[in-house]
Amino acid sequence: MQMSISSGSWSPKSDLVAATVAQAKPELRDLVVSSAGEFLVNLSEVSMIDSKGLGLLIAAVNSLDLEGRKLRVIGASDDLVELFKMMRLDRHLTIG
Amino acid sequence: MNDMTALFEMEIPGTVSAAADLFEQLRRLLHARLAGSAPSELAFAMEIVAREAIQNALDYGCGRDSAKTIRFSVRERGRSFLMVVSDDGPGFDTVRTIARELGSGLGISGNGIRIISGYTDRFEYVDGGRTLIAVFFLKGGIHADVDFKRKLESEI
Repeated sequence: MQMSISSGSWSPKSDLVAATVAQAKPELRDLVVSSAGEFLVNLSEVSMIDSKGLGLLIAAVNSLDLEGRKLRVIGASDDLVELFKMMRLDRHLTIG
Repeated sequence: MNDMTALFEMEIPGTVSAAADLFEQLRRLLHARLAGSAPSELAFAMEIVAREAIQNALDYGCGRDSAKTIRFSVRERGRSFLMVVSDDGPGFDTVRTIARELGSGLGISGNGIRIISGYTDRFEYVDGGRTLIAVFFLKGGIHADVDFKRKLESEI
């Protein structure tokens, strides 16, 4: 029987900042690798993302892009959406 | 006349845990101080700039050396806020670094200066890159003050 790989998602429980990125990185990588199709990142419990956290998301976008997949962000606060727009990350992922 | 009010001043050792404590205290203060009197995005802007500047000071200024010190302050003057972050490290080539980061595309690293630039009304590295001065204006604030930069420098 062929195994199916479901589309993946990740819901970080804390801010994505320098102090937390090292721990989050392998978790996110494993979820990306073990899934297929669009990958969802739920930011409803995240209030701050710094440059290290952005780097983590950009790395995920790059990995997904190599497989023709997309990253979709949901639950982001207005401040985080503005951050993505200011950094032009909104051109590389889907918001909402 | 010196009409600048200190809102937050802290000296920390160059460690991740000390920086985390500072960020937590700063967030509480910003939300308490700015609630109802400023757009909510201002607290976000000031926190993210503080994080970038202090992380740079930790990584490059202090090299994560707990014997070294990072100094951080936020002061208020009228409808503007002045943030100063300094360390005792070797400094860096500010012109080249800023030009490189602002001139490059979005990457996995090297986005800190772009964040600082995007979220401040003015910023400047002085003392060979050891000190960042960042200015945040409230709408309708001190934009018209042509002598503002000189006044800020005299306050530091």
